[in-house]
Amino acid sequence: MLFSSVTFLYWFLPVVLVVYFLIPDGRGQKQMPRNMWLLLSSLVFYAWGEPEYAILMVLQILSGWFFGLLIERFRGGIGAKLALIAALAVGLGGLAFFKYADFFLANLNRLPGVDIPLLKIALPIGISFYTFQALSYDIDLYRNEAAVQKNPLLLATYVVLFPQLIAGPIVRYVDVARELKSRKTTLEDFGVGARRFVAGLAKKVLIANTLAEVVGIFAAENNALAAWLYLITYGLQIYFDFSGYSDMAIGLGKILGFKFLENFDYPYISRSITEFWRRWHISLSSWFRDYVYITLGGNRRGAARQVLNILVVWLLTGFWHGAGWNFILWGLYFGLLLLIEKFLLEKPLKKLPSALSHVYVIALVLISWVFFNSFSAGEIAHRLGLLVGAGTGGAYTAKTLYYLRSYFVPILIAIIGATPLPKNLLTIAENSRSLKTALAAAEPIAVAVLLIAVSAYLADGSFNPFIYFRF
Amino acid sequence: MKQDKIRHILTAFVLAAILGAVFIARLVSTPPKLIASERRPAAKLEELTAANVLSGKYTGGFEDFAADSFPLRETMRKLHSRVVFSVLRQTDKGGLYLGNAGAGKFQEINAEEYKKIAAKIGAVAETWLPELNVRLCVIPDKSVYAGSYYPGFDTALAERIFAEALPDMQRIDLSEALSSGDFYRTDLHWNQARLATVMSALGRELSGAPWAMDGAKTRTVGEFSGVYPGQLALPVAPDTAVTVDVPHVTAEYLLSAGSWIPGPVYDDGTGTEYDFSALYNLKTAGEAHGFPSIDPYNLFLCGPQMIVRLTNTENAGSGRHLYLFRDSFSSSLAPLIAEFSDYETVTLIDLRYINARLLGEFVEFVPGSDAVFLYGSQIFGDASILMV
Repeated sequence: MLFSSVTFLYWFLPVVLVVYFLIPDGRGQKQMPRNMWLLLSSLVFYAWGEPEYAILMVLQILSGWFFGLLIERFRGGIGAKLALIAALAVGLGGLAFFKYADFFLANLNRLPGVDIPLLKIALPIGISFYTFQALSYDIDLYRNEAAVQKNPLLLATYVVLFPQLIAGPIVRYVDVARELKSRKTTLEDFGVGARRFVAGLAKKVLIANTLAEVVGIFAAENNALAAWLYLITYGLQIYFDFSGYSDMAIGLGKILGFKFLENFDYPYISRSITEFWRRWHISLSSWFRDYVYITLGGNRRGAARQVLNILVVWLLTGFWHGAGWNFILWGLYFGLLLLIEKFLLEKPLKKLPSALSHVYVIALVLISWVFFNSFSAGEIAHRLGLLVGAGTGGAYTAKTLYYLRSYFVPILIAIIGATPLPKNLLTIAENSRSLKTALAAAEPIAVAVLLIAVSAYLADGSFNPFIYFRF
Repeated sequence: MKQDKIRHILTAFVLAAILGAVFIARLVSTPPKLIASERRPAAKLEELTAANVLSGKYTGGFEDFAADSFPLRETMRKLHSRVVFSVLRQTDKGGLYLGNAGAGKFQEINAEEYKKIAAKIGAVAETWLPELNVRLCVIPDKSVYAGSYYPGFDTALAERIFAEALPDMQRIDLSEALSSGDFYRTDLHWNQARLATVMSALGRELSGAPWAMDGAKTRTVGEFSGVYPGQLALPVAPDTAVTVDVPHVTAEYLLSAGSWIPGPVYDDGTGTEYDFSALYNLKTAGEAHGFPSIDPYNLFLCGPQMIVRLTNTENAGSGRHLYLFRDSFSSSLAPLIAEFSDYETVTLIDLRYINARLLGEFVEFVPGSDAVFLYGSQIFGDASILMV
């Protein structure tokens, strides 16, 4: 089920919220009825789209729980290490099979004399997210950074919690363990969460989906202006799509009494690629940093090893996004840029005028979307060529100008919305005595207007799945 | 702090109130069976069975059902259009636009579709029309005359492809014969009462002299609201349906059984005894879903038909016959051709409803006659629509 659907908004969510808040609040065991209701509704939420794969998810959770018990049982000994290895093997094995099997087979088939039939397995939605969540529990447990969860239902509640189940943020068990036992829900938090949820919904439906209409049109054009507009609109679409989903997840979490960590922090205002990745998909970057980079030794084993570690992390980051060479290239592209910044450009970038460093980041990130959204070397070369005017359509066409004019306002809104300007204005209003009263009335009205506008789009059939569902 | 608290609590109430209101309105309202504005049946839920749930069939179609049964859906659709056109200032909504010449829709067509259509036309001409004078005519989309540039039918690209694929087929250019006022403001079709210049152009090409409509009498049928207002969900004042009298023309319709029966040239629904809807008129689909009529443009030659033969009693013995391979545009044009030209018969063949392989069973192509492939640009959006 998708957040940005009539089914979720007006069939699923009202029932979930009414029952949730009818169940009395409490601590410890008294929180269990609410947790069980969340578990049940989250399973319905997932199974709605993919009933058969709900079983796979439950098995992955049971595996994480079972090996967690073994890690605790054999803590400090070889048994704990073996249990962790087994947990990783099951979790990553499932991911490898369901997400990457055909990629490996297709590449094996390139060898002379090899012709293994592809499995053609449909990718289970959210597998990359829930696998990483379940693994983080076992790894943290092994590292003694989390307490064992003996109740499989509570561990399952953490993994399948519907606000963040399908597209993150990748929430770690330690971050919600306390809230699973005891959490507070207040009307104020409900309001704060509602604002965040509706803002995310509007980002997705009103901006990302609108941009999606024109992304495909620019992608099919054969001129330089369209090539750049394609990258700009795609870069904005993916940002609003994914950060919108994270906003909705964080907002719903807040309504239900959970505090999820931020996943985006205005990445397009970064002044270096290093900063960009501190602001983009923060939960994934920190997952790889904590569980892969640091495990490999980080920067503690000399420069050569650090270079290798960074490249491995970024190869895996790329590969996490999809089973294709383009994603691996995309990851390595950023790995190389980060290495160049770390060893060569760190100081020069700091001295660069602010405007130039923004241009530097935006240009490199936009070019990265060529790798990210191309599915062959030929397409990558074609798109890069178009950027420098190698297309048959020349600099621009009447059609490209038409769509630029037609989508100018949505693009402009998206560009402004990708900066902290709206947030800063809100902060100014919040801190101003005179504006504060107006804001008290304006915010609920704005939330109502946005929700009704979103509903209008959805009722008119403007349905569009999230980009990050395919990862 | 107090103001922040009030603000957050009000926001909470707003979300709860909207979710709750829609939820309750949905519970107490009956899902529609048809979406009149979009002229289609409403999405229905699959039967709730374990098999349908497990296969994803039930849940897969649920969102369409939920959207179609959304309370005040028409109001929401209008709001959507307002946001698109007035707030985001977009110039079209999925290709639909509202310009000076009324509502329209452009459709982008890729080169492959032009090639496929050209190949199909070539195949029909080669099989059935080797001894006829064959021409090709594409009716320019009304967006060409909208006063602003809209992407859509690429005349230059189509011409290049047709010249290459059909080098021997003469082409008729109607682009200069039409203007924005010749189309209904609410529909894609041209207005029959405004086709004098088109008739002149066609007459020059097919008879060597313009077909004059001087003194033609017209009759006002009533309001005509085409397909676009409903699709756009914006108010567009209705057009007026006017028919041109064709007193010397009689129409015969080919039934699926292969027999011809006489029928009206114009079906304004006022007491005609003819009703072909049970067999192959789109009204069949409409009536099955409770529509009185799915499309007011069906006024002309009873809407979609496989083959229609128009005979001019005054031209009997002229020995001139015209075969129009056509889409809906010809429904309003053909009666005029039959009335104001010297053709004895005008036969309309719609390859969307009859396979080209069967033509020999129902149509006798008289050698030396004229044949025109006359299509609006919409047909080029999907070559598979022609059964060739």
